[in-house]
Amino acid sequence: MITLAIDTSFGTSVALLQESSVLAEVNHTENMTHAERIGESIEQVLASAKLVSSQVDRVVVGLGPGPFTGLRVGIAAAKFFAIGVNAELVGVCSLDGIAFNYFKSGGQGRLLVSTDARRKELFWATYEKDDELFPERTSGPSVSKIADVDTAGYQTTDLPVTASALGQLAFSLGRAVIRDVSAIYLREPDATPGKSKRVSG
Amino acid sequence: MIEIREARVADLDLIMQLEHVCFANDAWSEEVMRSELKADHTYYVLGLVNGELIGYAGLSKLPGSNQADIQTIAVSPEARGKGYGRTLMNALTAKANQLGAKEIFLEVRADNTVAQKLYKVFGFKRIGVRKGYYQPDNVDAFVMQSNLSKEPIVLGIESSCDETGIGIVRGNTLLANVISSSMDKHAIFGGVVPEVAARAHLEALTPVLDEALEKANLTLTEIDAIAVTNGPGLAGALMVGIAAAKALAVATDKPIYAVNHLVGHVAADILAQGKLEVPTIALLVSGGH
Ligand SMILES: [Zn+2]
Repeated sequence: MITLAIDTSFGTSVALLQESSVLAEVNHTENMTHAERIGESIEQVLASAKLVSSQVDRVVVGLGPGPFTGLRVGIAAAKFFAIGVNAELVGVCSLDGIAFNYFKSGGQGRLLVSTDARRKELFWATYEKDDELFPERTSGPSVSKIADVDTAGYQTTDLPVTASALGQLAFSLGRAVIRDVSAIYLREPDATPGKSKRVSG
Repeated sequence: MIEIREARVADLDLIMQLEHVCFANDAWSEEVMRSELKADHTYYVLGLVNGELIGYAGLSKLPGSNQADIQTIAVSPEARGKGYGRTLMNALTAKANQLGAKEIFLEVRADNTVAQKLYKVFGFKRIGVRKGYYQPDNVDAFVMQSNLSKEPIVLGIESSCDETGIGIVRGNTLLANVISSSMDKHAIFGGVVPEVAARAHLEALTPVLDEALEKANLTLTEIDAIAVTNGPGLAGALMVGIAAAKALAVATDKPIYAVNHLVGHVAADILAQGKLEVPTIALLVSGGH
């Protein structure tokens, strides 16, 4: 099975996998160029794995949490790529990918994963390692003030999320198929109800 | 401005009035016109200006055949010379295209050079003569034929403001135009909230695409190219459509074209009215268009 994995909850990460082995991966760490990078990144992983799009059986996408504008780029791309090649589409919590990378690289103990949620807040979740070294989420994902995130008793990590991690997670854990995957926002849109007025495009 | 709508049997009386004005000696009978309007394999359109009938035109296309016939086209004497005949022809050729016709035929009076000129614009060529076809005037008919060239099918994605739109065209023929609006979600805020719009776009993408393909009766493999609005508009909203379009283009191996939203507004007029007359000035009032 060929999997295309995409995550834009931080930078732009795109990977191509066969079963759980990574054939190609592209990671752009800058976080303002998702829409510019997404198309070429998919083309790059296909080209370097010498595969064509129609060979992709499954698309795995990071659902966040993460900065909304960038996050949506990956989910929108995953949705339409999956439709375009008639592949199944599944979503994975992006923080799970960080935990996966932590345990895979030999990390031990209980883990608290957190990422910048801007406005002095963090997106976070906690994990333990299961019998097969896969992360099992024990709480979260949530968003909290930085001061309110208590790391006592937890390991932390600077490892980023990677698309390959999400692809391997989805393959190994056999996540349920969700056709219309939704972003994990954890925050309402920043707007206050005002005077009602007609709007149109 | 002319408005085109499909004719119904209820329009028969109005059509017959104009039929007698336009074709003094060889008008169709009411029975013939009624059966034309009723038939399943025909498509009649009316041209209305300020609500008043100024012309009509009819097409016949049998299922399974790849040929279509233009049955009639009439424009009231007072309304001639304004390009209305062209608009009616546009509607018929668009329909013929949509029905999958490869060529269109028509007969025209040998002495009606004005009509022949119009047909030539649409690619019609004279392929034969029917002697004394129009009676009692005893005027010959020229048989004319036009190949409907294979025009590209383009799928367009628009997400610059609060509406997620996916349209499909074949050349200048609109095959589907599906819009999902998030207007209701913005109303309580007193204006479009970019984040609300962007969230709604992401949710609407798949159902809008599915519906557009269904309406156009096409699969993605039949699409020749993908177009997407690349601005101006709300950045977060635009990026949803752009990312989706790019991924779809890579997935289906189709070319992708970025389109300025304002140019798209002008192009919408071409779909409705046919070729743009130049020079043209377009005025867009942001937020009000
Ligand atoms: Zn507009």
